[in-house]
Amino acid sequence: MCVACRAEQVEGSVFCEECGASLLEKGAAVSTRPLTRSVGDALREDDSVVPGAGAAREAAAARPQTVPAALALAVGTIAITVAASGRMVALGWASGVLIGREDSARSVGPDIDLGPDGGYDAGVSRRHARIAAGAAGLVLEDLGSANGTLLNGRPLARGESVALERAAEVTCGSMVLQIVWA
Amino acid sequence: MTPPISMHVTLSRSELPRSDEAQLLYLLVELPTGDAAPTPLPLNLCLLIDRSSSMRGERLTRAKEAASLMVERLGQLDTFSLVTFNDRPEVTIAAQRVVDRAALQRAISQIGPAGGTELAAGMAGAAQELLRPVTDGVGRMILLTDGRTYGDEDRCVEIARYLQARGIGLTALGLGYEWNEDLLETLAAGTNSKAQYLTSSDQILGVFGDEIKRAQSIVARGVRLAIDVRPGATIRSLDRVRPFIAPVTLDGARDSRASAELGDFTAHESPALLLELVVPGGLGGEQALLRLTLAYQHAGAEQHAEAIVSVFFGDERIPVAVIAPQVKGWLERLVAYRLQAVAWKNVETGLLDQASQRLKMASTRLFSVGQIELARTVEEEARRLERAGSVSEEGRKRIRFGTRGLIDRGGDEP
Repeated sequence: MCVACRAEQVEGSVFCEECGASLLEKGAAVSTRPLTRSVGDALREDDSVVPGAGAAREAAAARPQTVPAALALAVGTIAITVAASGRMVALGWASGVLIGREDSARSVGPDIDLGPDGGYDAGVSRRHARIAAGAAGLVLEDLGSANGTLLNGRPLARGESVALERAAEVTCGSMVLQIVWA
Repeated sequence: MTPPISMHVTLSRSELPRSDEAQLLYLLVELPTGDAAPTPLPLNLCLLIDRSSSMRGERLTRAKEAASLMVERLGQLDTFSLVTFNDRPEVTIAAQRVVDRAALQRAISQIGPAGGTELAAGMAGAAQELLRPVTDGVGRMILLTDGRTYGDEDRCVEIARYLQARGIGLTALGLGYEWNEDLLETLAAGTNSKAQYLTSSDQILGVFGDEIKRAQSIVARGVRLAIDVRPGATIRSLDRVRPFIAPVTLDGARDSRASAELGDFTAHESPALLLELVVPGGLGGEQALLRLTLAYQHAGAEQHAEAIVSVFFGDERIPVAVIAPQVKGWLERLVAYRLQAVAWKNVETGLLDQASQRLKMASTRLFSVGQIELARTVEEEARRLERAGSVSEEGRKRIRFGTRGLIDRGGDEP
């Protein structure tokens, strides 16, 4: 989706067919307004969307962990904060949490829709990753995303599942998410 | 022996991520003619010159000089005719071999300005002269006008299409800013045709010279490109981007086999097309996406060239921003052209805000490819639209023809 005009785009488009905005540039996602409450400056990153998963990997590796350990959460709840926009969503994890971009035409309705945060520019797939209950806590699974998933800076193999710590940083494409769960 | 036309294809991405979803791939198809020797072909040229009152002075003087020079440059096997028009057409020089140059030039010198502009009658007269000689040479009509014709536009288009269907191209040259750019662009939307904006009468000589040079250096005639796409893939669009931007009409099915008429190619040129292809999801490894087949006439024989385009779908995490720069550059110019085209439609339907937004974005795209002067013109007209609710005739022409690379010599690399 084009962040500037919201027109649907085919994956891989370089410019928006409707308004001509670049779908690659860093600035394309910056104009996104946080849709829900901000969790405050302490949770924000000073950089926004970094084009390219490779650059994101380096940035994630160099970035200090800023996970809000002190955030009080009810048991069975997960809080996901989009670093670029400051938007935070808290929801129950019992039935799993799908992360991606909404596409009503393809009946893809993720629990965490990163489209409004500039997910397209950041290389987030429609069905990018899933968080679900495992044998010993929650697991993060890459769903064969085009641009990859990183956990605390470490790339997951395509389709790989790994244990998710109680406070972690997950990168989808080049979009950084801070995650805490209880 | 090197073929007269080579085929080079550059993909926007050399590798695509394996995905379940459809993806858009851009292909820059370059068709350089290199050092291929032109096949000498007799020319059949007709100049159609507007001699209405508004052409008085410098404009008509320069047009006559250019016509005279054209006569100098034609060979004895070439056919030349000259039709002038105002309220009615006049055959100043009937179609004839260029034998007595002095007599032809005397006839040109006697052209004088008077009356109004009725284009269709002039075009009909010119068409008659072009169809008179029995030749399989290169037929071209070169129209020069500075005015607006009223009520006969449909007839003009009909005549242009009739000629284009017979391989006769039309170069429509608009001088100054009072002519109807919609009409001239429509007339020129056919094979071997183009419309061009001349901002000054000083350019007439150079443009006429270029036209004759191009007609004399044709290396391939009737170039036709066939595109076979793999099942599930679809051609979204095909545009010519070099030497100037113009949408290409596709015949056939965009999801199996389509083809396009590209007209005649001249020596030492590198025409280029930009193809947008929607690739289906679920592909992995090396995959052939399409086959391009070029067919044309060279030295009296049918020639073919073929290219199969494949791409690798890998597990590698590919940064979304990695795009071949030459593809992005041409695409960005094409986007600017498309934006301004929609903006003028928005103006016609009263959607001034949308028009202004599109012009501003077109300006951004043009800045990005280094077309600074044109970008400023576009930005200025966007502001004028916001302020005054209208655009200037001159600005509009500069933008329409500038974004296509059809002002002056145009066609710079991005």
